[in-house]
Amino acid sequence: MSFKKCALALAAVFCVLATLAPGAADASGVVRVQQSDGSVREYPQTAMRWTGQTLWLHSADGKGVLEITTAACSYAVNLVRCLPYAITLHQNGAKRSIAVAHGTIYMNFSTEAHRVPYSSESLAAHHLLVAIRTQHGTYITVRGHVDEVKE
Amino acid sequence: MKRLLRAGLALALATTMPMTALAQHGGGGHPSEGGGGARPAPAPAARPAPAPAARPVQPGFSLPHDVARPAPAYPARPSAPSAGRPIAPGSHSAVPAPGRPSYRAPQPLPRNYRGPVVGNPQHWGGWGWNHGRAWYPAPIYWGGGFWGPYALGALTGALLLGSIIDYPDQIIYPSYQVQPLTPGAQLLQDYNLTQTPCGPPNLVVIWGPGDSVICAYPNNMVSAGNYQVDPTTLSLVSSPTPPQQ
Repeated sequence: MSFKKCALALAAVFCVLATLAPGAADASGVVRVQQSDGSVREYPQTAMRWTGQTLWLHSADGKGVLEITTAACSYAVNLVRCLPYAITLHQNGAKRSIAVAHGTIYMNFSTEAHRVPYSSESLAAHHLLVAIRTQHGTYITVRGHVDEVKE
Repeated sequence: MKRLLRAGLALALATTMPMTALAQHGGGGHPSEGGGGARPAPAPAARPAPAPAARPVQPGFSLPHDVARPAPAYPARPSAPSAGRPIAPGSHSAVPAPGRPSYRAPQPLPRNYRGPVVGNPQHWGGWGWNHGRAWYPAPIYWGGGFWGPYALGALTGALLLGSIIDYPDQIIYPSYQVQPLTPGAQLLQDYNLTQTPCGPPNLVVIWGPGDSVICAYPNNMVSAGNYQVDPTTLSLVSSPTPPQQ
């Protein structure tokens, strides 16, 4: 067997490995929704995309997308802090607006971990932390690695 | 070369199989569970499998309280910033009323007005103060979030730091404390300004996005008067001279 064929075979093997290895290709975002009645539901393996100043959260089952629009993005030491002001739920072929009361988004665009200001929490590279309260008293928190960034 | 290929395949299998097995059996074979001793492993308990949840899980995201009802209106308050309005340098001014310096609310600036700029000592250019990232106000926050993440619906009197009163129009412009690590805090730091409650005369009155206002003591760089913020350079632009009557 030639060296070229062997290299191709090995590359194929590692491609298979990358596909089979648990979590290797999975989205790592976790969305936690706490309703005003206290009920909590978590959505693991949420895919996260950051485009411009909008955060897109794709549920693991591919059925729902949360679009979080932010502004007032500025640097808080090494992290970018943005303020969310609108949320749209894309689901079942419809778009529903969710009224935001207030919230904060910390995004680490750098290649090393940084601590969130006034917190013991640290954000790894390309990770984000979101905390939002809606006008109906629902708390939405998001954390995890951002799968795609388009600035 | 074949040996290399075989070794690669063996490595692939060795790496993949255990993880798959663990994932399927929930970490079976752990010593504490009796899998590592000389004794034969006990037969699995005849427990019935847990019944699946009766309630079907809704696909996607579930936010029933938020999508079913319209959003409640914000409590009425004076001078709520207009939603989504971008900051345009020179779009507002604070014109002191005759006899009442620094107590008049901002008025529209004349077209093409270019007020005297008190340049930022850091000489920021092209959004340099924000690492080159353009800054836009977030509509539901006081001052668009320039001075801090103050949500309009959550502002209370406890956070108040004086106010500017527009006597002719009977409007009160409340002022709040600038939060650290915000563009507003950086502005004050760059000019070495110290915030103080609005109200007394002879202060530096800075009008920010969305008719927000804060006040500071004058210093050797910035004299008392009315200013607005040019967000691109984080500079202060002096407001026009009040009309003489």
